[in-house]
Amino acid sequence: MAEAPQRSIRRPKRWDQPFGPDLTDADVERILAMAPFDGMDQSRFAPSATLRDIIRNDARLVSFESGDLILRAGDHGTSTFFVMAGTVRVVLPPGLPNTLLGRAQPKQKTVWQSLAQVWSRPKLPEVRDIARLDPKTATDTRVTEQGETRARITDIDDICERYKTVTLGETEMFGEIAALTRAPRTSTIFAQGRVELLEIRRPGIRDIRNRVASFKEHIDGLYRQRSLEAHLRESWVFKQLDHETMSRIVDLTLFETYGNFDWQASFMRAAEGTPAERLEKEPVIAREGDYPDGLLMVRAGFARVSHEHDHGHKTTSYLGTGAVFGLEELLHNWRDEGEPVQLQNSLRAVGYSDILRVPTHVVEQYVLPTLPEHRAAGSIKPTAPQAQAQVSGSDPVTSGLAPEVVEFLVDSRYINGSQTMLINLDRCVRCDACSEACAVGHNNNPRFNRHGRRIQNLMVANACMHCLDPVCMLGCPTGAIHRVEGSGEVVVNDDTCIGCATCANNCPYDNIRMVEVRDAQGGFIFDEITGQPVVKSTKCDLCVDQIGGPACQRACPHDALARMDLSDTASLAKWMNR
Amino acid sequence: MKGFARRRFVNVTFAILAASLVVVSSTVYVTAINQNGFLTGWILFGLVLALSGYRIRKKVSTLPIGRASSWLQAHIYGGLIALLAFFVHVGWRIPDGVFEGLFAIVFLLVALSGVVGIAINRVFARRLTRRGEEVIFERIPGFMARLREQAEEILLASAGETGAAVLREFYFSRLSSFFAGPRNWLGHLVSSNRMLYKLHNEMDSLERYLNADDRERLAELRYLVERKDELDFAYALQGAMKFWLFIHVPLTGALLIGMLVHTVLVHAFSGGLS
Repeated sequence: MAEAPQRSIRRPKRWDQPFGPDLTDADVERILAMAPFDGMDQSRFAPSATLRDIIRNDARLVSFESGDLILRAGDHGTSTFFVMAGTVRVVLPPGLPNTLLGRAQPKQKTVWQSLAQVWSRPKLPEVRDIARLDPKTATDTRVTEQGETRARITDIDDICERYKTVTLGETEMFGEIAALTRAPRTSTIFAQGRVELLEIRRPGIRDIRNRVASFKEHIDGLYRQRSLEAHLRESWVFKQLDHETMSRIVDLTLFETYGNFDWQASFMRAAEGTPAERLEKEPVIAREGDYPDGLLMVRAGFARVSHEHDHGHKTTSYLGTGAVFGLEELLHNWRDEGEPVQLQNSLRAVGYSDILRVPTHVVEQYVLPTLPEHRAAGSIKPTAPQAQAQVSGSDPVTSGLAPEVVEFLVDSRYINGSQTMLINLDRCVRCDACSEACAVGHNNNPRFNRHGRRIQNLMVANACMHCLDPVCMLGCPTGAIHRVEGSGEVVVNDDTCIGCATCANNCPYDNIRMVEVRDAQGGFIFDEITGQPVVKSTKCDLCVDQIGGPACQRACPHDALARMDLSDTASLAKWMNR
Repeated sequence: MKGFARRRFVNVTFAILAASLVVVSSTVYVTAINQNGFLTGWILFGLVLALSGYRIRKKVSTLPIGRASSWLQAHIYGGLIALLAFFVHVGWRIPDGVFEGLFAIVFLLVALSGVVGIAINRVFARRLTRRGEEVIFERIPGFMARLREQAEEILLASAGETGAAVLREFYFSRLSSFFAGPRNWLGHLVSSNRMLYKLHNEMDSLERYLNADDRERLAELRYLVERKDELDFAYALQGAMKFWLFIHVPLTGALLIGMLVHTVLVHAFSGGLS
């Protein structure tokens, strides 16, 4: 058989696409001359990635007019900002109301409104009230010269009077903790007057943190001070410790990041290839057979637990935020029960993982002696082929799940879903009661597809999974896509969505659809300037405004459909083995 | 006991208790008042009305009035109790009046279609899962049309060539009707692949008359035939899972009307307690 012709391309490089292509040499010089960059020892940077390179490729200058919203509390973002010129205002808790941030506060329907949906919904798809789409009645936005849309606050004086705010001036930094830990932004920040900001994307800020000790100390100090104790307490392992002990542990805990922060961009490519090739691409956090040098806790992202199995690796479980790894080995060795054991499994970053490493001696001194008796029971035998990793608040994670199902969920990154739509095809009679119920609750528009990837009799339908790491929320210019305060569903505010499709392009699971909208008479609505149809982003909102919760699940007569949190593998196993 | 087994045990226990209650109360009522049929008639009336409520539950899916699956369980076991109540009501014999006879047949057809429907759902859902990729029912005709177009393109490609008559003749005599729409409906329902086997045999025997190009075309057609058979399979099974409702639901409507007429007639012509 003739061999296929070889094709060669230049290997893609890190900075093929600079963050700010318009940045000039003069801009870079100006940035390097100002604090905190002027005080950084440039010799600490590698020749292949100097501070100048980082600024040149991972940074950009952005201008904001008075009242422009720079960050919104609750948004997800990957950038850190430095004030170059002007001042910004930080709104302190409790913050601005959702209506000012371009978000809608979902209002639950009454019983009568719920019932009326049966007959009052439009016959045609995607019908909208044209008055609500009028920018004059929606949140105030403006389009910059570069074509970026900015949401803005019109009456700054009123905001400053009614809400607690503080000012940040030149050379001050903000947004670093959320960018580095992938946590939601904690404050809303807007421009007071014209402001020029330096925005550095995460890989750049991570490199600077790794190279500049003072910068690292500053950021780590902030993180330790503000968030670390709370993050550690997400695990049951640390829950019983008092504040003083926790402070000692916090001081000695190490932070590590593995994998690619922008995993969604390369996800589909990564899904190709053999299982071994996919595994090769996942950075090893801890290797089977190594000395357990600490208790590892997943701070953000996901990790795969696997062990060698003949010529390959068998995935035995996966860990999400708050889960710990290596506890049983540490327990076994601490009790001095026979031969000490090495790590029984490997831990790999799936996409990316932020890891907190609590050194062994710290765990032995402060944590193990205080573990509740029932939790500390049942340590491993050195000959056991594997130890079970444990997730906070639950038992061994994958008991009852077939290994191929675990591999499938991890490889496809469905483990990101907190409300993943699963369909048991052995029970599903393809009646589409789920789709019909969804359509009834959404003006005759089903917000999911009863179709998707499958393994054995399990189908993961194309419905928004309301991800733990909602990459769809990155970069929404108006904040239209957001989490509902309190309950956490990811929803789109139709009134402020400008149809830019950033969320749809970011979603690695193809669960967001862009639709052209119509008026009540059925005609498509067009933009009066461009003449193009008005487009909106649509997705499953988990029936956030319906009184009974997700209609799809309640409408399934055969118990075939469930919305599952895939980090809760015990419930998943229970559901699959009914 | 876990999950569905536990639910089944609980439901069966309640159903047996409820059925016993129907039989005992009917016996006591007849013994005490000597008025056969009134009590079981009204029990049946209430049960059939309640069972019809399941249809309404499906329509008002956004109201929090219990999961559809719980309603379906109640519908299934309630239906079985209604069947028992029916036999007690008619005294375990065939009704002799024309109206009563027809009415009884409608009731039994509703019950039978329900039982068959449940069986179809249980068996066909699993069979669909085990074979082929998942296709949405409404999209199957579109996929079939695309396959037909592809098959015709293969034939058209050979049109300008001399020879190829055998392949064309075979297509027009055997395959064009196969690709024209859903086929082998009954065969797929009973797991028979006779049609596909026969087509494969015919294509095998055709090969000796074809040149290399036509053999390649035949291989492509063979692939399309298999794809089409997969779609026929999905269409047949999914269709059956929808079709039985077209018997069950309209007959229930007829049953409700008949039930009203029957109740009015019985009370109009009853002469009070004997």
